[in-house]
Amino acid sequence: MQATEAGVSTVMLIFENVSKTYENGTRALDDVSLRIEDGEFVFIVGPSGAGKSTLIKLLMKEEEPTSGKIYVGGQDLSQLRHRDIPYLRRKMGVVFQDFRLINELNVYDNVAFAMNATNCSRRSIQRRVPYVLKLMNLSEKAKAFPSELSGGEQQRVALSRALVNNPMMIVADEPTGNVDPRMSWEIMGLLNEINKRKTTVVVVTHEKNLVNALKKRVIYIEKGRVLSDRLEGQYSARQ
Amino acid sequence: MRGSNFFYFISQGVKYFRSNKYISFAAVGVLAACLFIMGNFWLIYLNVDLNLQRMEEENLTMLFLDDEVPSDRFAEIRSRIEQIENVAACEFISKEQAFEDYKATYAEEYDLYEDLEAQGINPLPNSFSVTMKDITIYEETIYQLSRIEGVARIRKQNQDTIDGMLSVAKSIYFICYWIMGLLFVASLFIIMNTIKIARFTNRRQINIMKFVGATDWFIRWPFIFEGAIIGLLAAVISHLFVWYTYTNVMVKLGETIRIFEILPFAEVSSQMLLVASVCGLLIGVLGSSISIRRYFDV
Repeated sequence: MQATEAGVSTVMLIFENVSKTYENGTRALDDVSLRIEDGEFVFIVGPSGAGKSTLIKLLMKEEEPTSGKIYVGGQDLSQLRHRDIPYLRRKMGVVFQDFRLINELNVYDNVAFAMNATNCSRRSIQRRVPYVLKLMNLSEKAKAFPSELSGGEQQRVALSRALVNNPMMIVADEPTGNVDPRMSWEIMGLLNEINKRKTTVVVVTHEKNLVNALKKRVIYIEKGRVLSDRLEGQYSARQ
Repeated sequence: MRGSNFFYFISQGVKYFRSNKYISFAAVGVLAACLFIMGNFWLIYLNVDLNLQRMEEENLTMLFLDDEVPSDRFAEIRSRIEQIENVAACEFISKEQAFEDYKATYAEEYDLYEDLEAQGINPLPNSFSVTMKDITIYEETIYQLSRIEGVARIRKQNQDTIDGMLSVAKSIYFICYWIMGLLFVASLFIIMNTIKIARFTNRRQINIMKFVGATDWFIRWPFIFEGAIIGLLAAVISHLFVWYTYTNVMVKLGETIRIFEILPFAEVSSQMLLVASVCGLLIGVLGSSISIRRYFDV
């Protein structure tokens, strides 16, 4: 897939013949090319060790590809200087399986933390945080600490934090991995809601039932290669 | 740094300091101990320097002129002495003046010079008393003085004391510099490692900050302020200890053994606090910022 000048600006994410081999010789990604449009909802699925986490690390510029090019929002990541990496990350909201909340801060402060870290004014924080908490149905838990919340609630806090800076794209790495099944549906429902508001959503997951039920685009990766990429796909490797 | 961020960074710095309070206080303690030792060596340095200065001020070298030198050459000799760069002051003492001084000094031993005076004999020569600026180049200056025509003899003052004092001072300076330098490096190393333990508990927070798009400096500033708090607290504590031990040990020792002049603490107090604060800040800030460096890899 070639990233044309016109194409780059309308596409949210392009992986162009991307390979990644780690220093220990592990080939995590092997000539991966994919293209995610602005406003899409995409599942990235596959067995453990398939290269899904590496894909996210490359996207966040936490790792560099061994070969190939990656574009996020039209920006060539290989041209990005180290000091500009934070600004790339501000375009993305990331949600992890282990929530990564700060235990010493309450729900409100955990969400406000993301705005503080990106130099937002106090006034905009006071306006935006309650709005996002309300959206995630967490208004009543604003003063609670992570240890007082269920897994699902903690993930909703993480989602609020990812959303609060109004990112172009939400990247969720196994967002339902530590959440009970009922809550998993709720989290997926919220991601779907976010997507309806024109935010691109990329979800890496193992949850077969959820993937199959939501009828979204599914990219299946195994041994570092894209084995299938289908709209309204199922959780399977079949082409 | 934005103005509104300044207060945020300070409050975060205080938070980091308090959230790792045992480690923070350990760091303050270690740094205060190092600064205390450094402070004492600095005081020793200052006192040796003061005593050396006093000796320089008091050192008088006498240049005795040949009796043959006519009085119209005195001015010329004087100007030749003053041309030597290391000469701070030069005073002419005529042989009459010298005899008067001698009589005044030995007023009670009148019989010593009674005969001489009666015969109108003055055995004392015309002379110049010379003060030097820097006694470390004493010998060179003496050599230059000895080459002036008409100078018959030079009486070096307290040369042995000066030489002894100089070599002791040089050794003390050397030890002071080295100990202060080594302590600076050692305390930086200890602080770095102490704070590194605290950083381990902050790594999760740093990691999250990186993922939400905080810049390196945004993450670094609070840690710099934390280091500054550690450094300043250590400086104040060490200053109090230095003040206590100095006034109770050194000053009292100086009062008992009256050979040396001891600097009053009030004279150097602000200088000591300033030096301790600068060292404390430098070590605290450097130690703190170096200790978080490896968390910036992601």
